[in-house]
Amino acid sequence: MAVLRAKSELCVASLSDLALYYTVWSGLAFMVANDASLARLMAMVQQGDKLAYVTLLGECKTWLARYFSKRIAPSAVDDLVQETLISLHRKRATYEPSRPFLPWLAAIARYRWVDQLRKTYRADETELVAELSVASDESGIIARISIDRLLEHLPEKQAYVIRMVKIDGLSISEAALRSGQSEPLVKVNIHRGLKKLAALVERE
Amino acid sequence: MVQFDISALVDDLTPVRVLKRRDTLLLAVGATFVASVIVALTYGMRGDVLAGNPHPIVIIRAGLLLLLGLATTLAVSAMARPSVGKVQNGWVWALAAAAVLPFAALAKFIYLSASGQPLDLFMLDFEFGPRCLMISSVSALWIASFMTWWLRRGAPIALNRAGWLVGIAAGSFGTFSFNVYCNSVSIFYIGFWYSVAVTLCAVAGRLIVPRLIRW
Repeated sequence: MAVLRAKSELCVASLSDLALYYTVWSGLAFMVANDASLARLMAMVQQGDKLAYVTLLGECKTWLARYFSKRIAPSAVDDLVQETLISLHRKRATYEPSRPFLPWLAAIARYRWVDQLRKTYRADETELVAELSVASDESGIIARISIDRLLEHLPEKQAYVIRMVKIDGLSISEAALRSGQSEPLVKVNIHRGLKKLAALVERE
Repeated sequence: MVQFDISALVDDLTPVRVLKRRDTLLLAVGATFVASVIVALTYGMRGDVLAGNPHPIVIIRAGLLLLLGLATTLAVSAMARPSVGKVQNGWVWALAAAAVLPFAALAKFIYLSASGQPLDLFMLDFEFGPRCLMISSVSALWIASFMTWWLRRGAPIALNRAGWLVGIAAGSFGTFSFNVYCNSVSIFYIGFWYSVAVTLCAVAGRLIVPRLIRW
């Protein structure tokens, strides 16, 4: 595909050349557009076909960018696409050629995404990690954008205390005071909310 | 961000052998066979098994443990290869079938208690029971190590579930390997100690395996 893209930028000498390019291009475009063709490409990749790999990686890159753009902040998409492509490379033996390709790729993409969220929120469930509340770096903002989307699925009370303690950095007692919940209830709501959040992410 | 270079992955490409489901099964069954032989050589075998005429309850418990082990191993094998929307829950039915043993023990316990008949808790055999746990757990550890190694080669996406399944599978096969030596045919004994062994292995699997298979 990359070769064809490069070729498409070249001047086309004649109408017959143009027709030829069109035929090849539309054929390949059709080929990469459907799952069965991606599955065939992947089977070739498993046998060590580098040309097929170039095409496959290009298509996967586009597909993954689209997949992640619906889930995370735009600035984090490239990193996650890159990590997923590396995972695809490392775990290519786990693809079974007789099965659909895109569900396999989606599963790897989802795992990488969940893993990234886990890394960001690996903090103890009831104790605040100071850096999370103070840091306003890019990764923190990205994580917040992702988590805000997920928090919408939680009951208000749980989402409220998670936001206060886990994101805004308040202590349990401060969160209890502001929310009107008792301290044990704040802890329970954080615990239940995070558990539900993890389940949501797994299901997503 | 540094521009990602696809060509580095392409240059690194080498042919790979696709992970096959049957390989997991062969590994687990092979490890179980070796564990059973070691148990038999170390502790001996039941006389009726050696004579080729085992007690019916020995056949039933062995069958249920094997069924549970095979079903969960198949689920583990499927988990090594990621896929969205693919559900492997046949093992739940095998687990339900195996749960008949502790439920039968519980039902008998309730009946004897309610009817005022003497409870033969001696059948629980608290001297021999811990040995059952020890042998089953060591065998399970041996079997689980192969399954975990297999999962590390794969790409499991639900790590906690994979941990439970490895624990249940290894626990069932480990207890099966003990079963060839176990001289008790009491439903109390089997319902209690065998269930404890499989449950402990399942919990250990859930606690230990996920951190070993993260990728």
